[in-house]
Amino acid sequence: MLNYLLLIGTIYIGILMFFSWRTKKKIKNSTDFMLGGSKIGVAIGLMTFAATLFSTFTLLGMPDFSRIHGVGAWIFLAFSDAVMVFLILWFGFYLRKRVGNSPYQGMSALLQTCYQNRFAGYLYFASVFLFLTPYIAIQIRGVAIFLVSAFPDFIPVWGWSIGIVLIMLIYSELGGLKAIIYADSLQGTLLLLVVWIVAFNCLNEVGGWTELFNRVASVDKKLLSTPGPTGLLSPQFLIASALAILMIPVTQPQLSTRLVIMKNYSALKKMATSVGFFAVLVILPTIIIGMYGAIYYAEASTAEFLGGVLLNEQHEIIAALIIIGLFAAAMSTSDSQLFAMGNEIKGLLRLKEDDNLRPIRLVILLFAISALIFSLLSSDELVLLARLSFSGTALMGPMILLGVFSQKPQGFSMIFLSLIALFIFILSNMNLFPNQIFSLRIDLFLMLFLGFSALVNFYLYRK
Amino acid sequence: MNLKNIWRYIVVAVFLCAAIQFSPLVLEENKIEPYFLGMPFTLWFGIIMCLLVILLTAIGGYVFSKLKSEELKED
Repeated sequence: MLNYLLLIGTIYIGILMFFSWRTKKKIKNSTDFMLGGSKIGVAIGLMTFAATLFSTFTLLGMPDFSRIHGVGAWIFLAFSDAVMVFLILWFGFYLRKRVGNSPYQGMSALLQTCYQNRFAGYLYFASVFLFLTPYIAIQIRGVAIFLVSAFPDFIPVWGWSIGIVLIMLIYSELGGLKAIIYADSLQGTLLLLVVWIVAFNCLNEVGGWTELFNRVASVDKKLLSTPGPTGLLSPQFLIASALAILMIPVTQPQLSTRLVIMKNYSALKKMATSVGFFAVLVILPTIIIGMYGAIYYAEASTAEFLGGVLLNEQHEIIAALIIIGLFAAAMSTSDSQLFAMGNEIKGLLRLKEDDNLRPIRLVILLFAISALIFSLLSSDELVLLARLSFSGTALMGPMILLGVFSQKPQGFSMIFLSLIALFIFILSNMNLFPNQIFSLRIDLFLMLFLGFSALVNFYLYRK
Repeated sequence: MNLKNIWRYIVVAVFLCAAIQFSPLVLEENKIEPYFLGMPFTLWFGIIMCLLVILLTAIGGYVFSKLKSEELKED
């Protein structure tokens, strides 16, 4: 398999470098570098949004998540994504209107303008740094661990992790956002192809679609409904997850940037619908793989299951393609996140179009190193760690929505409440604060409280 | 019916889909039947609701861009 991997890997990295070289020639100022010219059409918009949204968390995490928790995993991610794309219609319009014709300097700078308060931008950036860096890290780690299980005694986890970060840095630093967006198109296609090949193989092995669910029922009927065998997928967990996922394009800078740089609103609305269909196409096969895992790998560890179903049971070419697909999925999300953080710093430092890009490149490098260090220390529970990241950033959602929708500054109260909520959420995750308030999960309670506060704030300032 | 009302109905329909999807009737513990196309209830119902919301997104996008056509001229 190593030969196939080297061949496909060389072609893949060659294409990435070609994109970087091509786009580098067109970069004239920092806006070209950070925003890729801001004229993204529907097809490229779909692929870059989808590739950024669906990461190792989807490809490695979701099959394992549905293997353990059952078909309720569909509601956890697919339904939440569907509602999220609807929000894009609305939020995308107001965000683009608020940004106007000026170059987009990132959400931090936009919030400073909306609230006429610099602390709003710093608070947003702090939450993004706190909750996105570990998310980038778990993706790097996910792929690194997978590669170690594919090639034991070849390169250690830290070696693979450094390799991933280096490739990511080289091509994004050279070609800017445009290179990342072109590479995302390649990575999105690869992700879809790979996940369906594995799902079809699983269906063939088990004897077809109906047989898949019959066999799962004979293993454990609880896998076919909520809350699943462990009881995790309770209504509260699913609602809190839906709210957190709903807020992803609002709160995560790599996705809000993509809403701004679309060519026009017409392209944006078509992209939103297409991302919804893409989500269905990507998540359905992960459920199939998970159900297959529940039958044949019921007692196996995560590494044994993923190594077995994604590598050992596949033809060598497919296995090599899967490794590159995973690598691509991790890279497309992580580099976009790192790059978006660079743009946030650009906004906070108030750098202008013709300013030197060295400080931004340095900051991207520093983020990459932090993510690398985190990746060597983080745990292997990809989906639950990703969900923690979504919930953490989602707490900034009401403050952002209020700022973007309002025509005039909305005072300090929402910024203050978001800060308090962030502290409580962090303390709760460190077991220094109760996990429930009034029988509600702490993340759900905080999101509802902040949402309600934003509404009250809006109507008070309107009067 | 004017565009503003249609847009409002679409938003209400999406909220309704979410309310149904997360209602105790649908998330009833260990509810597997009725099966449809070989799938257990939780999965097929979830897929239908998901496709419905995506369809509403497609229609909503069309209606919203018509509703905001004046403001979008600058876009």
